[in-house]
Amino acid sequence: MSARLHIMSILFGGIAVAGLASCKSDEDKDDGNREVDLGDPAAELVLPDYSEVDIDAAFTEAIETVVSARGDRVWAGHERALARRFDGCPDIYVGAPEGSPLDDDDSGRLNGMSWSDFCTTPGGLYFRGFQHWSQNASASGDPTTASGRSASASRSLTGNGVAGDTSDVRFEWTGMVTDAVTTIIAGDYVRYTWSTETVGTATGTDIFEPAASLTPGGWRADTYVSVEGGDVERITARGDLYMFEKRIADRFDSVSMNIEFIGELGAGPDDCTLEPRGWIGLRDENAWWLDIVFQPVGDDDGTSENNEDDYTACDGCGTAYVRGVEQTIELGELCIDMTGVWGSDELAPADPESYVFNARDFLDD
Amino acid sequence: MTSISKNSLCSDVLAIAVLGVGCAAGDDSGKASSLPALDTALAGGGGRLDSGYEFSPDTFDPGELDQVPNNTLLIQHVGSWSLSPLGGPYRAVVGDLTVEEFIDGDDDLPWCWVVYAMTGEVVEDARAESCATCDFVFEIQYYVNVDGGFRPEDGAEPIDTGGNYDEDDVVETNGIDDCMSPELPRDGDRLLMGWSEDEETLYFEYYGSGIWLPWYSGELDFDRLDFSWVDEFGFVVPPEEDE
Repeated sequence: MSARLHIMSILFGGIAVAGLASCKSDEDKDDGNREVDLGDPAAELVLPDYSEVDIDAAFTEAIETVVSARGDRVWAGHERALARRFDGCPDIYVGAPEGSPLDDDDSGRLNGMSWSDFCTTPGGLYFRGFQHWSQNASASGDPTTASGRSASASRSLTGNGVAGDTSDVRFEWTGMVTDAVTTIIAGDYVRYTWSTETVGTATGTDIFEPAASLTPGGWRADTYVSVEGGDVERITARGDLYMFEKRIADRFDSVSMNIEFIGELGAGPDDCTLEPRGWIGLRDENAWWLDIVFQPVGDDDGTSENNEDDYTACDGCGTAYVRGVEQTIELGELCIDMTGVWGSDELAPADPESYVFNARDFLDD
Repeated sequence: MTSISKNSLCSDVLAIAVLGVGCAAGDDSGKASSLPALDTALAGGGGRLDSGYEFSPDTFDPGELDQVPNNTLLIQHVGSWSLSPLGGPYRAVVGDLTVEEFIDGDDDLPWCWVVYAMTGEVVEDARAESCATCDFVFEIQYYVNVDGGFRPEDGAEPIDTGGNYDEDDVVETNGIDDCMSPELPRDGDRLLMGWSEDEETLYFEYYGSGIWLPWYSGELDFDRLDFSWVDEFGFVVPPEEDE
């Protein structure tokens, strides 16, 4: 045997073995016996430092902020803008104006009133776009009697319009907001309920008075809020809200929540007043979320079946999540005090008088 | 002694090495590449990441542009009360109110036509006191006497004692359901209305809310109160329904 042949046989023999070993390795890959190189370890998730944040105050303010995104604020701003109307600017319509989405259905076209224009008043205030509104209010009874006096009102404002001048946007509303209020007064007994559904973008100094507004600069919201007051204390708030200028605790620009509060006043024996149901999330400008999860909102989500579960305990504490990761060390279980929300001015019902908007008032000017 | 060509051996080994690579080609044993660094070009001012919303200044100059409605609706309410007892203080009222609406000022063809009869009795309780400027307040009941239908043209004469007109002397009008006047009373509605002589204004209490709205301008002449409201609005004419 030549030396070359010998060497080749050794090589081929080794290669065959190696090849078989290699192919066997492929076959075993699914068996998990082979170590796979996953590369460098994933970068550690950076968690923000919240040590400087007053958590109680931040979440209480988040509740107030969402509750403040209500119909009466937008409605009041609209009235202020129209108070500066000049004859024919903007043009007032009965029903819906031309070119608006409301023009396509009878309920919008035949009800309510609206303005639509692209004009500038002699004073330099411009109106562009349209707004359509409808409202109703009624009341009956005597508050000094046992049956008392009940009043209810509702309204809606739908549009895509702006009013302003060269220095500022005075009023801008794009979207639809509805709100309603019911009050019952009988002697010392008072009960009120109001709710608002807000889907849209609001800006302008007529809505957000810079010095006094909770959210100067405006917001973009998709929220529902319901408040019961008087002889009970209940708040329901859900949805998302982004603030254009305001920052909660100087860092959070957005709020998302699905939360239900029950206060001490009028609480039932099974009601938990130590903590709300649901969750609240705050987003900072890096789009990192800080969430707190309390008791489940509903009884049918499975968690309530296990009373040992931390989520179901009425203990005044929630579980914190940062960037979606449950916190077990620093923030961990958060026992925050949001009782300050019950003293908020934002909970008061809108003045029923504000629901009445008489088009004849400004047309006669 | 047998010699082996060095080049020949290397070529064989190279070929085998290629075979080996070919066999291993299906195995992904390469290292995972690390995630790219954040694109700092996306960051906003001050080193903050883009929050997703930017206001852009509105630089559009509308000039003298002023859109006007394609169609208008003239709303005209005209009515009167006869107050009694004569000379006052007034305790009761009877009256009427005619509501007409005209598209683009065409008063020959009303869009809608409603005629009310009204009766009322004086109110002197707390509800009346809630109107700070009213001299007297009545609870008015509205009766719809005419609800659209054939309206005689101005100057038309009835063809019989029953008040019927020749078909060439009437125009067909819509009724209350098609009227666009806000807060138009329905048949049988009972509403509070109060007169302020100083303001020459007839007020309307908004459906029991205790809020009094200036509703009609008027003139009280002895025991007769004439009142009206006329205004023009933009209006989208509904499409004609298919027969």
